Amino acid sequence: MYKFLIFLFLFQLSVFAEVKNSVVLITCTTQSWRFDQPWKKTGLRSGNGTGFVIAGNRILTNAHVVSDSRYIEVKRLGDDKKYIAKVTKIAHDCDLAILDIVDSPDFFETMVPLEFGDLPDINSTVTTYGFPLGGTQLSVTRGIVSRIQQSNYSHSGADSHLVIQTDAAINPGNSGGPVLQNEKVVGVAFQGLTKADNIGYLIPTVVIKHFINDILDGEVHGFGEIGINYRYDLQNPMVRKLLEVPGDSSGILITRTFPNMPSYKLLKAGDVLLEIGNYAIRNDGYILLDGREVQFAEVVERLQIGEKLNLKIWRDKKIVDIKIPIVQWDMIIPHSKPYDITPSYYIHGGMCFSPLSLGYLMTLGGWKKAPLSVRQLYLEVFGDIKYSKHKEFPVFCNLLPHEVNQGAENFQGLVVEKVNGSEIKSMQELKNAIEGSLKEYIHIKFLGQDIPLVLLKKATVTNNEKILKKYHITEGERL
Amino acid sequence: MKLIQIFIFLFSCAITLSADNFKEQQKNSILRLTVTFQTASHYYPWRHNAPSSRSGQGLVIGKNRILTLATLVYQARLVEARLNAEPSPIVLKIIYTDLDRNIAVLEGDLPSEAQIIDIPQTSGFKASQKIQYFWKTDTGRFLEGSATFDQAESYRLSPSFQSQIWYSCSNPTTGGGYGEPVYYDKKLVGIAVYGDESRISILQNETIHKSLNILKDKKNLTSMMGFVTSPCTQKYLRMENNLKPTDGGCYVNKTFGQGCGSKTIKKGDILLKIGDHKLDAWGRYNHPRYENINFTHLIGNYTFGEKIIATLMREGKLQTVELDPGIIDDSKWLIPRNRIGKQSKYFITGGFIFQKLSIPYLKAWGSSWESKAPENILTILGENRFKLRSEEKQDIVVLSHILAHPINRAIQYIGRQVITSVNGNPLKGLKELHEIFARNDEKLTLTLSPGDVPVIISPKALNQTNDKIQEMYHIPNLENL
Repeated sequence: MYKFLIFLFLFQLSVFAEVKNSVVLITCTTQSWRFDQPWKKTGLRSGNGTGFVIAGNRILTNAHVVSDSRYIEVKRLGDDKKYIAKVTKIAHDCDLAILDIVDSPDFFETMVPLEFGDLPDINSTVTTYGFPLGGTQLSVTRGIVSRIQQSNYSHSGADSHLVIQTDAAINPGNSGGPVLQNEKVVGVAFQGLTKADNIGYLIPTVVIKHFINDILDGEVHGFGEIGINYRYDLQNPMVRKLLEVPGDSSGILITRTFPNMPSYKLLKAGDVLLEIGNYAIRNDGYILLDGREVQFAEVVERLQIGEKLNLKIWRDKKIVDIKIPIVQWDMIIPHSKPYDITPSYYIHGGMCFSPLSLGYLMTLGGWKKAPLSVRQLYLEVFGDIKYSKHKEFPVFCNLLPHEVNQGAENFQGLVVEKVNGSEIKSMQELKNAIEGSLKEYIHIKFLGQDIPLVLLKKATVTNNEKILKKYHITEGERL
Repeated sequence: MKLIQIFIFLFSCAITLSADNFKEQQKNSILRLTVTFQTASHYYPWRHNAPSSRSGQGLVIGKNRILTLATLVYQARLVEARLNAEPSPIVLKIIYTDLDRNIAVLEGDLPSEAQIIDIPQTSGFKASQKIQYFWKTDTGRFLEGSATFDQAESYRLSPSFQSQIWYSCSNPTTGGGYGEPVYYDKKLVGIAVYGDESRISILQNETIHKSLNILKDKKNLTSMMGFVTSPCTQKYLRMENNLKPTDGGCYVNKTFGQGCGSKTIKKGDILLKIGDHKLDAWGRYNHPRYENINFTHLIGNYTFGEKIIATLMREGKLQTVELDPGIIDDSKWLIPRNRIGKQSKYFITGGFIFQKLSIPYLKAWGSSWESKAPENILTILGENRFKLRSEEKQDIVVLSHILAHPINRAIQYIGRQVITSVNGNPLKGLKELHEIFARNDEKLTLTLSPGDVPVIISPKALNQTNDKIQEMYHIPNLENL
């Protein structure tokens, strides 16, 4: 027993020594655009995170460590030099990013790339390496893997992937740090729960590998979807009987498909999804994948965009085999938090319009604070066929008060529905409809409003430049 | 000198005596009302909430007849009154409730000392004048308060569509607003309707008489607005409609399917005059006593058979139109606004609670229901709020929630959804859905909004569980249609 403990101690020391040459401290200065005044940028902010070297002379870290970056420095342990880095690939949906060192090609010579392992077992021990709470010395904490399941990734706020839950403390600064088991990376520390003690989350290697494979062609495509809503109605014997599902078959009931997604044509509400990628789906939506119980969506998660997936469907008392492509859900109004985005805008007569986005809604304090018509649009737009031709929804995001726009203040925060009776489906259409109008008056109809905003075209056109100058705005549009 | 002193003494005695007589008369004209009321639960439509009580004042307006606020006595189970400190309260019966004008009339055997108060036909007084109001406590103490009249305002109190003139008074010496009679210069000017520590609002005598006239004869029913206006302050909207800044006029942004002007007035009209009253851009006119006041209460001055002449600008052209008086009948709305004292219409089968969508149902989400109620239902509300019932669409049916039972296992969390169709056919209303379930079919597909989400169920199987579910959840009636 005594000899075993000495062996364990020496083993840990050797792992630590190796990780020391793999882990880096990242300091990032960030700046983003304001979505309520899209011609302006926010103030500068700075923060620390952790990264580690992987094969191919790359540094892997969390996307949230380097989002909206303006300047990045990387520091190795035992080296007083700070190296300038840049983001080469960033995927906000899975909170991962790849950095490269800009000015020192020999940076990686003494660094040891870490290898990836598989999903750890529940109740096994993992070790987290990082620089929590701004420290410059490497911190090492050990924890137990308590759960592996699909969960929300808070960086984007809209994506859900597999996560490993551990009781190792994950604090700010730990983000992007490697989590090792048996000398191999089994996860990247990325988020914790503030309302609970010692609950930290790691990005498992299945997600990391998906990201690394995704960028092999030099571009980030992200995770794909098939675009369905579903319920577990087959757990109900009455529904099972009514659907006349064959024998011992199990599955989930598809309740909704979405326009602009392949599911809209290939699947329909009322179909029972029996199998996905040749995995039988249980009535509770779980499948057995690599010996683990995981949600059926994990099969989609493991595929890259463009790949096809076999589905077995029970429809009209027949089994139907369908091949469905995995696509990126390109939402007209994305529900994920905006990063590294330069919002477009158009100012006319002192009224600034920009595409309705979560970024804009966050400036109001969240989508729930928006006017009812905007809230409803935000929630339902992706499911409503009548909006499938829309590219953007221009929102009247700011007003530069002037004589020519008197009365416009009552419409601020609303989405443009029509200009002079023509439906507006993009920012460019808005600009064209206003500037191309041959009428003396421009009628802007806002969603949910009965009274239109009426502008005198001659007055707004004459005063456009003056208004911009008055409010120190150099560019009247960015489309 | 002595003579002057004697005169001053006698004069002040006379004033005191006169004031004492005035107060004494009030004392015997005001009753303390204690109302035990019970509201219907609109989320659990078979239930009533626990009884509660509220109190306020009543005014003796005739032999054994008392005037008070409708909002004080609505949903009452028992109304008790004390004129003074009688050991046993007098039980009163509600004979008339007019929620549109917030007036109720009650009857009961009043003590012989009860004195009838005369309500003057008008109640005009001027800003900055001091008013007095009186009330009685639970123990029969007679108290007095005062406030300063600031301004008259014209608006309607939800769920009524009848706009009234209200007197807004500031700096009350004590909280009021529960039916206290209000006096200026010892003349009754109205009754206090609501208030807090900083303001009270007074319903004027004219409104009380309008309501009492309706009690006498329903032909005296007054008109209600069938359209909504908003300020027309946009410079270029006015220019485009050939309106000069001095022309005034407010913008009609919505018309209802019922009410005065709903058939004649059009969305987009700019209303310039009602009768001889010229309206400004905010819809106010120059009232002879209260200056700028919103025109909406004027509509309530007209009864059936009369014509209201309105001048408006329509598509840049000046027009004069005749508006017929009309009322707003809540039962005609596709989504009723007011189910005061009534339970929601519903039926339950297999634990599925189906009920009519109404504003009181949405109020189950609290006073901020317009932001807290489910967004999908608010969307339906937004699309149908002022639509009238029709042959094709009798009402909007909500699958409110599902009472858990083995028959609905794994689907019992579905709820707060509007049902748009059954087996692919548009649903007319709750009664039709009830009839469909009564057919006891083997299979049925309900479609929920938004997204046309299907729910596949067996009416036959669900119906068979009704006795058990009724017993499990202690539901007295599985339906109220």
